[in-house]
Parts: sequence; structure tokens; C-alpha cells
Amino acid sequence: MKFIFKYLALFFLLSSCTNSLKQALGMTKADSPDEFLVEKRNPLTVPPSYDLLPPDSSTASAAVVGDLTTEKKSIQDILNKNLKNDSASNANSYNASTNNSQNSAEKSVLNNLK
Amino acid sequence: MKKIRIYLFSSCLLFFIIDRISKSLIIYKFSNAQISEIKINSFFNLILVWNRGVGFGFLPFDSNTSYLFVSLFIALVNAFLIYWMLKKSKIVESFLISMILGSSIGNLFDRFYYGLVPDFIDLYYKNLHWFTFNVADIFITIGIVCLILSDILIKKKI
Repeated sequence: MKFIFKYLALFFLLSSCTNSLKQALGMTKADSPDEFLVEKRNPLTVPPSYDLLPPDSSTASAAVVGDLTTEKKSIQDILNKNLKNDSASNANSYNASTNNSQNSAEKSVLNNLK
Repeated sequence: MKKIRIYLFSSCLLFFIIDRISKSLIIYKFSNAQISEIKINSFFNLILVWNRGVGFGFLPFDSNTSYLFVSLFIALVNAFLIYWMLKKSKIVESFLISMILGSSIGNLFDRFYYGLVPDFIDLYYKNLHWFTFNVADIFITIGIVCLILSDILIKKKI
């Protein structure tokens, strides 16, 4: 039976058939897109509350925009009021604190001298 | 004896020419028509595939040195085939070897001329495709199968 191997080796060397069988069975790498070029997307998540979902109609969105502008104005008013109050209170507290600090400094200097 | 040798080399040349004509026709057809496949029927296609390796797509070396080494080794095997063809006492066996030699030289010619061997016969059943081969491969297969059978028959007689 040795001569059969001799002939098979000869066939293996001289013939040139290609393995399109591999392609048919999907054993070769297909022309798929490069995985590193695919944009990554964040996974879909469920919102904590469905009441927070934005309205999808255009009129509703316009109403939301109007609401937002009024909200902005009210927030600005609140901030302005707060700033005025803060500045007034800050001025008072600064005077009080400077008096207190001066008193405390005097006391500490006197203590050291004694 | 000299006459037989002329016949043997003529048959060798004949198989080489048949192989070259088939390959040239297919390459011309596929390069001009810009197509990848010609469907003949439900089990037979013509598809141009270029093979850099040996049989069954093995040894597909990318480096030119390895490819040249394999090609030179095949050329050496062909030289041995010439010696074997002339040495064989039986005319039928010599003729079979000349068939193998002519086809093998056809494949070797493509290896040096194109750098690849064109294969174009695609036999398949549904999604299962057999190895794509060429006319030279058919002659080589027939020659080797016949040589194996003749050897088996001779050994049985003895």
C-alpha cells in the first residue's frame, strides 16, 4: 500500500485545487465591518419615572419652552432678592465680626502681657 | 523507441495546450465581463479563484522566498516525472505519466507567469462546494487514479 501514498503525495504537489469549501462553510473571515470603527452606543435605560418623559408633540414642546422662560425669570427675581438680602446681611455681619475680632485680639494681647 | 518518446512528449504538449487554452479563455472572459461567477446549472459554476498554494489550498505562502522554494520543488518533481515516463516499460503507464506531466507543467507555468494558479470549476450541492479546480487538475486526478489502479492490478496478477 506504500505506493498509494507516493501517488497521493504526487497529486497533492502537482494539483492546485483551492478550498472554496472553507468559504462555503463559513470557516474563513467574512468581509465584515471593522469592529473598532463601529460607534459605541450607551445601553438603553428605563427612566426612573414615566412622568418625567418629555412631551413629543411640537405644541407641547413650545409650551414647555414658554414655561421655561417664565421659570427663568422667576428664578432670576429670587436670586436678585437673595443677593440684596445677602449683601445687606453680609455688611452687618462684617461689622459685627470685625468688632468681635478686634475685642478678642485685644483680650489675647492683654492676657499675654499679664 | 525514439518514436514512442516523440508520441509521449506530443501527448504531454497536447495536455499542456488544452489546459492553457481553458485557462486563457476563462481569464479573458472574467477580466472582460467584470463578473465573479457564471452559473451553468444547479451543481456546476464557473468561478475564477486564484490559488497560491498547492493541492487543496495548502501551503499558501505569502513570502516570495517560500513560494519560489515550493515552485522549484514542484519543478524538480516534474523533472523526475520526465525520467519516470521514459523509464516505464509499459506504454499505457508512460502515457498516463505524460498526461500528469503536461497538466503539471500547465500549473507550473501559471505559478511562474501569474504568480498564482487560476482555478475555475466549482462543483457544489446546495451550499456544499467541492474544491475549486481547473482542467489540469482533472487530468492529474485521472492519471493518478489510473496509475494506482494499474499498480493494484499488476500486484494482484503477481
